Amino acid sequence: MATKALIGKDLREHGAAAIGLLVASLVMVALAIAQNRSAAFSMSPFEVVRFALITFVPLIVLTLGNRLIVREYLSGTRLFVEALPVGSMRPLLVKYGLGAAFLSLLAATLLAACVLGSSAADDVTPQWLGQLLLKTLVVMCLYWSIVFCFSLCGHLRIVLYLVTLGIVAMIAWMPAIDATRFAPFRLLDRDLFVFERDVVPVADMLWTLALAAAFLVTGFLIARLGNGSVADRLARPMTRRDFVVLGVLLIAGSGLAGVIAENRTREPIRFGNTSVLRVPEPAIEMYFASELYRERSEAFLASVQTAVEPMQARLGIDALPIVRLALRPTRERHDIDYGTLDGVYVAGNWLENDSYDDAVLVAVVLHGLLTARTTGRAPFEPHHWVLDGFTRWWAETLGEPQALQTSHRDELLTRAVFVASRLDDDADLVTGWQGIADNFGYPSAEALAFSAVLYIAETQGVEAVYDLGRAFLAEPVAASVLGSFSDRSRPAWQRFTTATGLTRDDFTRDWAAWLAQRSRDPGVAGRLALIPALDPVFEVDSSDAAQPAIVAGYTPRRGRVVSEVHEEAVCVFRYGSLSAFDYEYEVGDEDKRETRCVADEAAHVLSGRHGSGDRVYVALEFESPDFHQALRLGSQRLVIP
Amino acid sequence: MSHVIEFAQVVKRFGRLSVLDGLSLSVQAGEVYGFLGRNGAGKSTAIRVLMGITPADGGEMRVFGERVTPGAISVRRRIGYVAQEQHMYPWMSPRALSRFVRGFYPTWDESRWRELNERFGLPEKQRLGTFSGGMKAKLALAMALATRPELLVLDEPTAGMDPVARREFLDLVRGETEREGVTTFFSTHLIDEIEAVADRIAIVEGGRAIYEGALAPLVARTVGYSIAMQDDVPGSFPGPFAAENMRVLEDAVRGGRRRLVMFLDSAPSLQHSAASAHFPHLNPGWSHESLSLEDVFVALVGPHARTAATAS
Repeated sequence: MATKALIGKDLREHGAAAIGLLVASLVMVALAIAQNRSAAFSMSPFEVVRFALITFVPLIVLTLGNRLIVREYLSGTRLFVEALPVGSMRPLLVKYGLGAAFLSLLAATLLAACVLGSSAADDVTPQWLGQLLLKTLVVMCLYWSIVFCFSLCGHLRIVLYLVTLGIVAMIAWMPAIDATRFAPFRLLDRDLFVFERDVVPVADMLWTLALAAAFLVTGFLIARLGNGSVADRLARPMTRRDFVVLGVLLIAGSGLAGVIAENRTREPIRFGNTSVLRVPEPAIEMYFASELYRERSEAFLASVQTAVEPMQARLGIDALPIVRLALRPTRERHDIDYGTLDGVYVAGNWLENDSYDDAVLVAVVLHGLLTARTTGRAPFEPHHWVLDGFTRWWAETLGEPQALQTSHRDELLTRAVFVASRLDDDADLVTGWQGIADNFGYPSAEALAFSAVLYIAETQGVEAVYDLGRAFLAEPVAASVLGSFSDRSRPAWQRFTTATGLTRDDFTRDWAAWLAQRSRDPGVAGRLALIPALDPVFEVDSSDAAQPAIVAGYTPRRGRVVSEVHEEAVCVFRYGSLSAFDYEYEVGDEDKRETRCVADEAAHVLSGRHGSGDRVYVALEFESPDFHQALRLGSQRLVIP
Repeated sequence: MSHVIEFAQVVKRFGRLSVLDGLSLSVQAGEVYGFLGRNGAGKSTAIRVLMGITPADGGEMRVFGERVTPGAISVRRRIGYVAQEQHMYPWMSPRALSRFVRGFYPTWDESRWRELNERFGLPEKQRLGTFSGGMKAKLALAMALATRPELLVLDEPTAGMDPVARREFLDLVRGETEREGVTTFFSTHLIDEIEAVADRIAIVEGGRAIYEGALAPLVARTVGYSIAMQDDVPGSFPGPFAAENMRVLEDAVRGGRRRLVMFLDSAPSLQHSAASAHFPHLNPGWSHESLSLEDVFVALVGPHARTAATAS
């Protein structure tokens, strides 16, 4: 009876607010899911749950603690309940239970909203959903226990929240601490929280629950200490001494934050004075390793300079970050390191490059410059194809269409046509671009994006390409909330249409048709004939349960005859282990097997390398002296049963 | 007669501060018991111990013959309690309050609650946040009585009330306790409140009862004398008899007169006249002063009494 009365009272007092919080949460989740939908390939709708857990759920829990506990203590109504014939702990237990029940409802609602916002691609299974719910509940339980404990500390709770925030910030941002190595941070891992499907993180959940239990027990101890007199004292208005303590803690916290920020500052990459070429405007530094390589390096530096200067002028960019190029003479031609943390840093080997290879590397430099210039906005989906296409187009043409070498054009268009021919008829080359990059590799995806920009240049004029670059690649991320809203008010396709004069539908349809026509260009058709008419096949042979094998091979492609493949050409099987979650995967050069390019469904058999439950990325590529970069025939993600 | 409340050498300390220092008293069934003491004398702590909210550090405490332990809610169910300050939920109306409180008391009498509310003039649907202090106290009294308590505990319920509201409230207490015959434990520091309703009283000071019994003997056993300063012969009074049979509660100079208040410790049957008979050598200037209950109370717990107690 007493418990029922306590529950009834709290429901009457806080029910409306709880419903309000639930509705507000749903609105937030709906907005996040809508945002997620507009950003193709960037997120699963279930990432919204993690987003909620690290953004507004803590605020909801704070509100809950404030209404259920703090208010009761600060207003003294606790004394009224205390005099009623009820055990001293029961009102608190009821409050904790109600809070937990509300958060469980919130978790279920959040997940339900995400399920509604999901698609077949999300592969929602009861087990996975259960795992997500469990993880969400455990995290919420921790939040609620912390807030429950601190809420019993009266005015001191503000200090405690600030200190906790400082500790969390320190753990999350200190370079020396790998927060993802321990619970509860690991439980909220960016990838594992949503994409882990098989392994239930029992240890992390237990640690998190143990932490929650510690806070809960501390809370009850505070409530019981001195028969509640300690909690009562803490609930009284803050004294001057309390304010002084708060001030000292704030100052100490600021100092600590300063130290952390200082520790996080990384020394930028600096070249010395030997074997370094420098150009002041645009600022480029090049380390060429040895005097032996000076001449070739100077030539490459000139080609970078020649590409950067006009692009900066055409896009109206006032300042560009510094470019640092480092020669690595022992590397393969297309083994490139790339970073944009302070300026643009590119390391590679340009000694044996021809003009095509130079254009590849120059495009990387331009890619880095525009990424750094736009503070990471340019490569953000769904604009990434614009960045890749524009930079390759610029590297090939320097902004002047007549400068495009026919052999480069033919090779790039051959790649683009090849990729397009391997896709379904209704595939959207633009919104599906990121998936294409994942499946057919970046060189081919870049060629596809290049073909799109070339199509715009040839049909709408070169000014349309400049306008496209200015609309998507020149402006940094908005520095204010208002700026962000302003950006949001102009959807990507609207900006695209304004820049190019093409609507989305017209562009995707006509570009695909234009690309199909290009397959009949003699230069392209001739190169297409150099690609083996083979389709990749992948299979897992688990007949030997102890040693499952991955079998990859080639089947003849229907409708095409085998053509004149170069005698030195090889077909390559590449593979790499995947973690439990999916994102773009670029398989390395370490694990590969070569064979002649002939139809053989079991050309590559890989056994004893992977066990049950492993996830493996497998790809089949074609390498030939006729093509500068390997052409990926196809790839797949396999799960070993 | 059975005892409803029994304190036997109850001790309660907060750190080094002894709030109850061997408090002993007993309340009999059906009586209205006045629990008098200054602010900070330990009255509220004694009530918290009595209710089982705060545990005692020593001694024994029984209510309805049952030993009180912290968290023993069976005792609390039989007690109607009116606190010094009413910390009720401001968003509740009396109706909502009844809905909440009835869950805690199996003996809750809804019809009595309605009747009391009506009699006390309390609007049923108005938010408690808009109630005056007097209205809240009446509501608390109605709530306590609607539980059909066997013991009514009032912890300075009139604190902060204006004289009119206070008088009205006391009339209600008097009327209801007489009507119901419920045992009442009335804590206050205002002696006139007790004078009107209490059958017996205890005066608590420094955490212990310095007097327990009926009111009339207390007044009878406390005598006051005064003399103009120019007529006083130092050392002539109270004299050997008084030193043996009386405790000097107050010996002070006020308004040019030396005043003495004395408590007859060992001769409870002595009357003022008899006392005078034992002072044959009184100088002619000494005159007897009549004392109100408040004078007696102040003399018993005032600073002079404490000084005297410390000296003794």
